[in-house]
Amino acid sequence: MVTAEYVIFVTIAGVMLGTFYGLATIGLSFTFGILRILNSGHGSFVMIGAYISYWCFALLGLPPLVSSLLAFAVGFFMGFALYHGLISRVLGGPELISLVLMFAFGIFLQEVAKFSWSASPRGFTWGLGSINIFGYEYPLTRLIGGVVSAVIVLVLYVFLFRTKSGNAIRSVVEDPEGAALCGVNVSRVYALSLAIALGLTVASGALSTLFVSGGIEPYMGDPYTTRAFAIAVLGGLTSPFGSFLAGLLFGIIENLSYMLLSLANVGNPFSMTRFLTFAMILLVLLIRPQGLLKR
Amino acid sequence: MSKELLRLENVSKSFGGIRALNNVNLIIKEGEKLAIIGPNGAGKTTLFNAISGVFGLDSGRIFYMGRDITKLPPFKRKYLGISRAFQIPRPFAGMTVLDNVVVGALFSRDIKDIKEARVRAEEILSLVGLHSKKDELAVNLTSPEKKLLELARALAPKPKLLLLDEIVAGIPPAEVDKIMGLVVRISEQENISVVALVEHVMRVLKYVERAVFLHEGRVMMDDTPDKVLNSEVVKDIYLGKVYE
Amino acid sequence: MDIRTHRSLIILFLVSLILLFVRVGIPETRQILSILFFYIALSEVFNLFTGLTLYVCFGYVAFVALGMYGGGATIKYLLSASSPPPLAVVLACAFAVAGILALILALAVGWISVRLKGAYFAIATIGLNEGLKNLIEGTGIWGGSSGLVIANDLIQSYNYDTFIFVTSELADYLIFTVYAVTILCIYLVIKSRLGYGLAALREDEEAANVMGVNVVRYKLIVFVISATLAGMLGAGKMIKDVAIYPPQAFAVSYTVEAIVISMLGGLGTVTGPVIGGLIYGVLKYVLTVSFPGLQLLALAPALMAMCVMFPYGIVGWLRRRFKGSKIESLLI
Ligand SMILES: Nc1ncnc2c1ncn2[C@@H]1O[C@H](COP(=O)(O)OP(=O)(O)OP(=O)(O)O)[C@@H](O)[C@H]1O
Ligand SMILES: [Mg+2]
Repeated sequence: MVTAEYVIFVTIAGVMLGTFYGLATIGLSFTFGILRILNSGHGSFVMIGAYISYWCFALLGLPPLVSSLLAFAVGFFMGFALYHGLISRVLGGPELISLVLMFAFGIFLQEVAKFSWSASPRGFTWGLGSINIFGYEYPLTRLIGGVVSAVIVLVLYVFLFRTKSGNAIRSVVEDPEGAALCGVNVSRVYALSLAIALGLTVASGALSTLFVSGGIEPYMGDPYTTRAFAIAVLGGLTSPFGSFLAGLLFGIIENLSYMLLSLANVGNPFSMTRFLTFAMILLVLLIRPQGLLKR
Repeated sequence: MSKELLRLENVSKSFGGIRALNNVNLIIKEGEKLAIIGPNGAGKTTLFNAISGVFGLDSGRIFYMGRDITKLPPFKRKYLGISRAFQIPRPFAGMTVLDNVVVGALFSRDIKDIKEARVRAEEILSLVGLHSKKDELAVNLTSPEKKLLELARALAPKPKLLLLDEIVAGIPPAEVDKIMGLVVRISEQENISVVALVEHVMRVLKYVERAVFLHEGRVMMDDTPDKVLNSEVVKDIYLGKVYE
Repeated sequence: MDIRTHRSLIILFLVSLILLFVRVGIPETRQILSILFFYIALSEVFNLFTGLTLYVCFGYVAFVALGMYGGGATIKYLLSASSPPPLAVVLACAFAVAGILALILALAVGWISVRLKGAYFAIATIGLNEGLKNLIEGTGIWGGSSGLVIANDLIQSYNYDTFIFVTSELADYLIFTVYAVTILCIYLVIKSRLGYGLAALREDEEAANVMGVNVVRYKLIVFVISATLAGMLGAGKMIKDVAIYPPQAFAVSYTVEAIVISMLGGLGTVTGPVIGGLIYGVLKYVLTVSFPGLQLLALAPALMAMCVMFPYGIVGWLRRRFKGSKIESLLI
C-alpha cells in the first residue's frame, strides 16, 4: 500500500537524484548555449567519470567525493584538447558535421573504455550506512551525492556571475560579435566553456556511482544522453540553470513514475521509465519547443 | 486608380524593448512603384519580414488581394506572388547560379515544371547580366553579383509584389541606372508592384511614383518622392544627409 | 523520354547488376557481397533522408529494427496457421507489414520532429532507438528481451532446402531490390521539384521558406519514405538472419556505419553510398577477420577525421575536382 510517508520519501529521494541529474545535464546546455554545439556524445563523458570514480576507489581507496575533483580535471583537460583538436575546425560549418563529430567521439570513448576495461559491468559500494526518512532507509551516500551536486552548481553560479572569466562567458552568450568587438577573445571563451562543461559532466559521472553503485560499463552513458536531452529540453536547452531546475524536476518525476509503474504493473518499470523519457522529449518538443521552464 | 494589392493594418512588432514597427498602416496598389525610405534601424527590413511572413506580428493584420494573410507561413505567401530580395544576399551557396534562380522560379503559382522554370531562369539571368556565370557556384560570386542574383531570384517567379531590400546599396552609381531601369521595365511588362527599401531616396528617386518615410517604426510621411524629400521632417531627421 | 538524360542512373544500375550476377555466379563471393549489399542499401536508405536534408537522425536504426520485428512477427503469425500460405505470400506480407509499421512510426515521430530545426531535431530523434528498445523490453511484446526467432517456423512450414535457399539466397536478392528501389527514389527525388526544394533547404532553411519551399512538408516526405524503406530493409534482414535480439537489433553501430558510408561516399548523392559502401564493406570484411570486435574503435576516429577533413566525401570531392567535365555529370 502506498502511504503518504512513502510518497514523501520517494519525493525526497527524487530531489537528491534530481540535483545530480541537474549537474549531469548542466554541461550539455552550457555547451549548446555558448558554442551552439549539441554534444550528441554526452553520455560517454558521464561514463568516463564513473570509471574514474571506480578506479580511484578500487586502486587508491579514494571515495567518489574526492575522485569527482579528479574527474572534473580530466573533463576540463579533455574539453580543451577537444576544442583545439577538433571542434574549432568545424565551428560555423553545417550543424550536421558537429553533431556527427560529437556522436563519433562519444562512440570512440565507449570503445576505448571497452578495449581497456572490457565490457563487463563493474561496481563498488562506499558504505556509509543510511539515514531514516519516515521509516524508510535512505543511503547516506546518495544524500551526499545530491548535496555535493548542488554545491558544484552553486560554485559554477558564483564563477559565472562574480569573476572576470565568468563575465566574458556571459557576454559571449549575449552577443558573440559584440563581445569580440569589446576585446573578448571569443575562441578562448569557447575553449574554456567546453572545458568547464565537460569537466562538470565527467564530475557528475563520478558522482553517478553514489546513486547507482553497480553497472559501470562502457555503454552505461547512453541512457544519460537521452535523459540529459529530455532534461535540457525541459529547461530550454540554452540555459544551464534552467537545466539544473529541470533536472531537479525530472528526478522527482522519474522516481514517482517508477513508483507508479511498479504499482500499475505494466511491464518492466525500469524499461518503461526509459521509454517514457523518450516519449516525454517528444511531448515537450511538441507543446513547447522553447522549453517548459522558460519564461 | 488601380486595385489595392496589399494592406497593412496597425502592424506592430517589437524585439525586446525595441519597437521595430509601431502601428504601421500602408496600402500598396497593383503595379505601383514605391520606395520606403528611412535611416538605419528605422524598421524597413522588419517591415519586409512582416510582409513575407518570417515572423509573427505582435498585433495588426496584413491583407493581400483582399485575403487575410497574417497567419500564413512564408512559403505560402511566396506562392501567392510575394517575392523578396534580401538586404544581405542569402544565395544558396553550394548551388549554381542557375539553380538558385530555378528555385526562385519553380516555387510559384505560374510556373509549373522544372523545364519552364529553367527557361525563365535563363531569361532572367540574361536580363540582369549574369548569364555567363550561370554554372558557377553562387558562393563564388562577387558581392555586387550576389545582389544581382538576389534580384534575379526574386524576379524569376513572375511575382505580383516584388520586395527589394537595399537592392542598389553597394552598387556603383553607373550600374544603379541599369538595374533600376531593368526593374522598372520588367515590372511594367508583367504588372508587378515594386517596393524598394532604400536608406536614401535620391538613388531611386526617378523610378518610383511614391515614397513612404519610415522612422522609428512609424510611417511619418507618405507622398510623392519630391514632397517627401523636401519635407521638413525628413530633412530634420537626415540632417541633410539625404543630399549626399 | 530521352535515355541520355538518365545515363548516369542507368550506368549505376548496370554496375549494380554486375555485382548481383557475380554474387549469383561465383559462390565464393557470396559472403562478402551479401555484407556489401546490406551496407550499401542501409546507407542509401539513410542517405535518402540525411543526405538530402542534412538532418541527422541518430535513432535511425530503430526503423530497421522495427521492420525486422514486424516482418518476423508477420512470418511467425502466418506460419502458425494449420496450412501455411505459399512462401511468396508470406514474404510479401512480411515486407508490407514491415514497411507500414515503419511508416506509422515515422509519421508519428516525424510529425513532431521535422518542425524542429537542427540540433532540436537530433534531440527529438536520438532517443528513438533506446525508446523503442525499452518499449519492447518493458512490455515484453515480440518476445521482449528474449528476442524473436523464426528459423523453426520456416523449416517446419516448408522444408530445410527451402529454408536454406530463402535465408542464404533469396534474402540477398530482396535486400538488393530494396537497394534498387531506394536509388531510384533518391534519383527521382533529386530530379524533381522536391529535390530543388530540398537542395535549397539544405543551404538555408529560412531563405528556402521565403523562396516558397514548404520546408516542413518536404522534410516529412523524405523522412517517411526513407523510414519506410528502412523498415523493408529490416524485413529483408530478418529473412536473412531469421532471428532478432534487442541488444543487436538496436545496436548503435548500424547508425554509425550508415553515417560513415554516406559521408565517405558523399552525402546527398546517389553514387556516394555505393562507392563508400564498397570501400567500407571490403575494409570491414578484412577488419572483422583480423580484429574481431574492434571495428567501432577504428570506425569512430575515422568518422571524426572525415568530419574535420573530408566532409563532402569522395563523390563530392570528385565533383569539385572534375567540375564542368563529363565525369561530373556522371556523378549523380
Ligand atoms: N531579429 C531581430 N532581433 C532583434 N532585433 C531586431 C531584429 N530585427 C530587427 N531588429 C531591430 O529592429 C530595429 C529595426 O531594424 P531593421 O533591420 O528593420 O532596420 P532597417 O530600417 O532595415 O535598417 P538598415 O538600414 O540597417 O537596414 C533595429 O533596432 C534592429 O536592431
Ligand atoms: Mg534593413
